[in-house]
Amino acid sequence: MIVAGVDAGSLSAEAALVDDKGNVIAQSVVLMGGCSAKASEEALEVALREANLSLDDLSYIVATGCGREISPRANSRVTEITCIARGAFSLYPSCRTIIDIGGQDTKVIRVNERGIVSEFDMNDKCAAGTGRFLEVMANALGVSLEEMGQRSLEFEEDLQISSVCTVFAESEVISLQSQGKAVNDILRGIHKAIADRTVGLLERIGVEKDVVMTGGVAKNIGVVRAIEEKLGLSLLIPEEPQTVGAIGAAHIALQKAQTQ
Amino acid sequence: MKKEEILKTLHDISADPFPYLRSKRENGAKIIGSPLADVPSEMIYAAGLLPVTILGTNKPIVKAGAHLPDNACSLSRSNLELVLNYHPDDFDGFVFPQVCDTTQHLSDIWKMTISSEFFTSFLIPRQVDRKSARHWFYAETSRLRDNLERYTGSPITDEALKESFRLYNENRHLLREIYQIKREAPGVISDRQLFDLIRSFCYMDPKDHIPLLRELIDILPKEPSDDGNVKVVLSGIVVEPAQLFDILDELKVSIVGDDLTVGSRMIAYDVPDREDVVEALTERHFAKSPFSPIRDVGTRLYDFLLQVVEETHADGVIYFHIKFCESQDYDLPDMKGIMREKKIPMIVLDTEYQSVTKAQTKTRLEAFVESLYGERDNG
Repeated sequence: MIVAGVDAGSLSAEAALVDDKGNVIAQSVVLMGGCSAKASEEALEVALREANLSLDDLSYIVATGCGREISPRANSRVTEITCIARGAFSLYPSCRTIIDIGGQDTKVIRVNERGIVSEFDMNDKCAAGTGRFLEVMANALGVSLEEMGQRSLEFEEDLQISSVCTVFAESEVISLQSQGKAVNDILRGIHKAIADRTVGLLERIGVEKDVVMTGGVAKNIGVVRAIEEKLGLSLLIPEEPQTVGAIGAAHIALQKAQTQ
Repeated sequence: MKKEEILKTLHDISADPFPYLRSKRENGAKIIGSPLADVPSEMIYAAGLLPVTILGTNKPIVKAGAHLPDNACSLSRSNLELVLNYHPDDFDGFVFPQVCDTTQHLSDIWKMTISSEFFTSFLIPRQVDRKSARHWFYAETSRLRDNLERYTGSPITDEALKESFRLYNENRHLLREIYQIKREAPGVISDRQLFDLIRSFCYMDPKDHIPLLRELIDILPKEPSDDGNVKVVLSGIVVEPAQLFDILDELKVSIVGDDLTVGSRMIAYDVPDREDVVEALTERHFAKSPFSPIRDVGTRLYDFLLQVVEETHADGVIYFHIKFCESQDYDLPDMKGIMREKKIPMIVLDTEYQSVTKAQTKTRLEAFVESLYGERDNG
């Protein structure tokens, strides 16, 4: 039996296929933007192609993410909070706290020893300090998203960015540039500001080890290091942090298919 | 009337009470509005006036922003907006309770910006464990009686007050009876419908409300039955926008208890039979469960919530936090800590009158409900 999880996020869609033993046999990330039905369709198609399977081979599909309600073909829909928790717990059973920074929001989740969500909080009012924020900052500084993390580790001056509001931070960054500050130093300041905001959110639910970080922003080593410094511990980062929600959705799909 | 007709009548009044209130006015009623909380409606009713609890508006804030800052409590802003902008001519007067810092200031703003035939403040002691609090409440209630008498030109007799007590006690009793029916058989009416009944109590003449509730009780099945839903207790002051109840219904959540001001706190406490009618109202006030602004300095607020959770065997607590409500802001850290310590799942939802059911709010609630089902089914 093969089942699928599809995570229709705000900037990307991901899919994961798992077999009846819960092994991930294929996964995909499609950058399309905007919680679209088409994005989740395409993510599923890419994963199916990778596994050399077709839609007919799937016994159950769970959709998650902000576009879960419009995801076609889903047999049921589960929130991204539950799916990320399930996915992170399946990859790291020692995980008790999860930080997920995606395209438009930040989530912090506590799970118990059975992988069930015990508490969570979200910064979902605006995209401050999220993937979208990093895109705008990268654009303002003329660097690519991929190089932001590494360059920030090569900082010389420890700068402070006072806001992670996308609008305010952009003007602050421009102002720092006009003062002749180095791009690497500004990047470091941006990542520290994200870390402050994330740790502030974590404080509300408390931190228990092990801490896993998921979502696209977990690919930014600068943000990861800044959060680790603030927390004083190492984060566990999955090989592909963006597909954790889809993997969790697939595990839930498996459970549903088996109890059907 | 059939069950659905009664529920629809009360839903419509709950959603928009003004057509009902206008028809009452056309028949000679004088409408006296009061924001939350604890104005003794019985006293206003005994003066021959119709007391109405003002519960804000979900319509856009246009005028209130000129008088109250953007970071003032969302309930206070929308109450002011409702009267100032949307219903300036639908009230004859106001009894304005001061229960927190914001309502204290809003009382003055209200008096200066809203013209009405009658206005009086009603100052409620916030630390109820002080000996002086009881004397204060007694004196304020007597002052309210005097002011209402001056307004109507007629005395409020003890007989009229006792008849008012009897009517409101009966109205509350019927609401409690329906709540108990739902508690034992959650599927008989939806969460939204239960709270439509309580909200319509805020607006209606008990003489109109009571017959509808009696008829409804006759129709509702009384046998206990489990709908299989997870059971929750609601906590806070008020659940707004009311569409949040629709989300709870959609997510298969059954309300089995609450400590809400617009909820059990409003219907649980009857006026006792006492020779001194003002003393009777005072006694009832101090028997009430605590709510964020009115309480003693101890842990009574949290203890009461824990007691409701224990009695109802609820799976979790949904705490509704009115955006920028300072009283609630200061309670929350302790509240969260205690719930964690007792291992009672709780979610805190920030609510704002003007943000009608945002997708994020639904996702938060949904994720919480998923965790309750996860704990129940896999625990």
